[in-house]
Amino acid sequence: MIRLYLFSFILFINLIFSFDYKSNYYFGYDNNVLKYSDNENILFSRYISTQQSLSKKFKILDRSTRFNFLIKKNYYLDNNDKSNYSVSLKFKQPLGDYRFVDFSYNYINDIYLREYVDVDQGIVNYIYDGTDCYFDFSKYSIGYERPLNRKKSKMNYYYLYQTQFYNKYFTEFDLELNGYKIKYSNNNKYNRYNISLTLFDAQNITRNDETMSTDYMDRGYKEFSYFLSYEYKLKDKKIGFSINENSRQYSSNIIADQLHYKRDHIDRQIFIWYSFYHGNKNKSKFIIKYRERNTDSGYSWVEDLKTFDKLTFEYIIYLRKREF
Amino acid sequence: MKLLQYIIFIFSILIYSGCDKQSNPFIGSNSVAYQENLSGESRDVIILEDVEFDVYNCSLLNEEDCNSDIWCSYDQSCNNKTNDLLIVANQYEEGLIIYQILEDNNSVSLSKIYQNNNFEVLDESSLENDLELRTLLYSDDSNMLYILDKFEYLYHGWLPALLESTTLSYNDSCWDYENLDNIWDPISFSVFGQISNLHSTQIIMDESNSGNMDEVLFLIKYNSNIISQQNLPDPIKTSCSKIGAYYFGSEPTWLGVNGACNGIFDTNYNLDISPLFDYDITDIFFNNDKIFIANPYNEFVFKDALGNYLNLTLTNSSDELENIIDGCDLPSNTVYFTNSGKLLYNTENDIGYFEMNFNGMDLSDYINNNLDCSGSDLGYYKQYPSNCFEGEISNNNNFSVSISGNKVIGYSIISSDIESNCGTLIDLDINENFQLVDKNTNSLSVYDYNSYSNLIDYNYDLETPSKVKSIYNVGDYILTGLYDDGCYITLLGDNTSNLVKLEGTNSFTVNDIYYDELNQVLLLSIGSSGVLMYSWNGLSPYPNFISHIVSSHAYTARIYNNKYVVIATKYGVEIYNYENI
Repeated sequence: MIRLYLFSFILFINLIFSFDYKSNYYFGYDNNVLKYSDNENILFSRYISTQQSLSKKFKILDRSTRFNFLIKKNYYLDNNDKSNYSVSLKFKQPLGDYRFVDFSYNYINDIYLREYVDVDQGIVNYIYDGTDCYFDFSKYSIGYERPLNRKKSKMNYYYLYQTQFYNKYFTEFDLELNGYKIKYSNNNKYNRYNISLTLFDAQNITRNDETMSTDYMDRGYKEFSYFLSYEYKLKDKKIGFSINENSRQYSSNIIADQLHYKRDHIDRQIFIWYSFYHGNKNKSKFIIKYRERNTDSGYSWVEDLKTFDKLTFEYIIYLRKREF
Repeated sequence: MKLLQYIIFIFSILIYSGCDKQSNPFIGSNSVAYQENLSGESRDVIILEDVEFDVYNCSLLNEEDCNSDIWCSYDQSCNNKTNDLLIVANQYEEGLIIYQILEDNNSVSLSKIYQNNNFEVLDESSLENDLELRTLLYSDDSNMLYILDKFEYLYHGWLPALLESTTLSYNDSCWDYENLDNIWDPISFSVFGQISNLHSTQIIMDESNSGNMDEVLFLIKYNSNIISQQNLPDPIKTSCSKIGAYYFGSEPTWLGVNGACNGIFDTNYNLDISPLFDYDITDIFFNNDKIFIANPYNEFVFKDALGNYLNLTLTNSSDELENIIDGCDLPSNTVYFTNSGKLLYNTENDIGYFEMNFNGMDLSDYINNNLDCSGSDLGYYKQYPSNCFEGEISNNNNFSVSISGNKVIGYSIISSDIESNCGTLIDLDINENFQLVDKNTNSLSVYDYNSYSNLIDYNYDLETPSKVKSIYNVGDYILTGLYDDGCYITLLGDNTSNLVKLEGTNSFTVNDIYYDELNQVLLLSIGSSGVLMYSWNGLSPYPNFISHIVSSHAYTARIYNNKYVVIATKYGVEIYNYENI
């Protein structure tokens, strides 16, 4: 039903208002695009992404509502399975005294993982090598923002709701996530930083349905993460870094569920970037991303399968805003 | 403006039609017929069809007891009846489980009639009660069930006694051997009562040898990292393997069924029926008095007098060999084996121990017949003084050379080194049919079993494209399952590496091979990819692919009632009906 509302609403405002248009272009190299572990044949891929966004302020209540719609398309040149798109929609409503409420929706289509064996195939009269595993990721958030003592610092509080729905062969992994996030941000003339803490509870919503695979599997988990970001600004140049660390503890209590029983992991991501403006107000950004996940499990094959690291280099060009 | 509105309209359609769809789960048309989820991994299964035990006597039961007894049926009088049984070796939680298989038209289910995870012998070398059952064998002749607890002990149990609590038709009260939990326990092989530090990793029985008293062979592994070197079999100083035999001196029921029920057997054993093999044996198979051994040999080893490994590599490059007259011409820290049997060496460190394996011919026989020197026969190896061989070793009186099967071991009786650091280490004076095993060699070996002498004799070696994981023999054919390289078939007796790859086995790792002779079905258990089924009469090298069963991670599989495949998986037992494929 939410899709119908979104559709109607966008159609409605598009007929009435004009928009600001922004576009960004990403050029990157991912050295381990399928997140393979060290003992597998790791695959790299170059990628190009395009992102277009429309934004507008319009007056519904006393104060103007900020609206933003964004679509991003990813093209993986060396691994087409990873190519996909995402869309997002965001509303931000000022309440006065630098307080806001916001709602956002983000949908990522067909996130490709790898080829896995689908045990619900049963007996087939050909050699079965596996099935491509994809999932769709939807994220909803409702937030409230208020300033702290100084207007330059603020707190955000979010309720998060997410779903991960897999393609029909792997519905045993379908998840529904509920989470909470708190974020502190501060910025001044030269420095900008923020810290956030997030807690998620993921429920495996297809447990014990009619498929064999769900009989002994529970992919539910609890996850705590923190995110720290700092950026230093000097005239039209910025340099910054961020650290994101997720600690996930799977909640399966099914001893036969080797993939998830007593499994936990720590997933770290470190970003370092440098950005600068061109004379024509376009902006460029270079990013190095490092990600590593260390998995603990009672089973070494699970640790091997789920432990990886990867390095990504990315160049982004942000074209200046245009008004339609 | 209109263009932009149009674009937004399209995006809106995308959002409406593309987001948030939860898929209906896919279920194949021939999905699992029955699933028995277990906490631990099921590593092996045995199916016994139409089992009936003579010692169960239903005629003594009244109608009510008769009707409630799974081994009896009432029709004017109480009569014995047969049952189909599934025996499961489960790792960790459940231990040994026996199910009655209930099959009615096209439905199959299991009824648990025996479970025991409390029979592990605990002593100074087995401290934890942690049964890790891996392999099962059953003898139709003796009704004996053999059980391997990997890296620990071997057990056997007389099946009528194990199942005594499932019937009222058996009056003998069997001994609850170990734990007084009212469940009759399998008992450990007597061999382990004598020598407690022996641990086994494989057990095999020649099932073609029916009508005789059981004789099982077991593989013992000696890991130098977890046991002291004094406990390694002489004269080796690295991890190794040996095959032993366990057999009945008299029928299992030689003291009557009561004796068998109480685990009193007349058994014997021989720990030294084979020469020394290396540690990485992955599988052995025993059929028609032939023993098939996967990966019997590792590459050569050199150590100094203190037992530290020396890093010497084999030189094979023709460029390097062009100007080599003797070992001192070799690059530093390399060895080279000549066609005439000389081992040339050039090392920066003194050598105190070496160990080499050879493929191609029976080395023990060759040395024994051709060496003009007598050695001491010590059973599974023959020890020669160092001066029996030419080369630097002959100048070191403290050294001995032992030949065990196709393995040559050079060692010092006291702790000393070979003083010269280059030259000819030893001249074995063997011909070009012998190939030194290096790290690129993957092979299996075929041995003949002589039940009279209780010894095994080398027959031939076969090089394989990659490391062997599983091995099997059907009639005139050897089947060998490899790591990440599918399954190959070859003619027994053909040592030319003329291997034919089975259709569809691709790059699968084959955990287990099983041929059901009655139903003429070949089953390959290929781990997380399930089980491959082939139709095969055992008379040609071309089994015909029938179907792929996409089960959970499969360890072993068996046929039941000519229409079901029962699979031991990582998550328990799964049963598939293949009738309609």
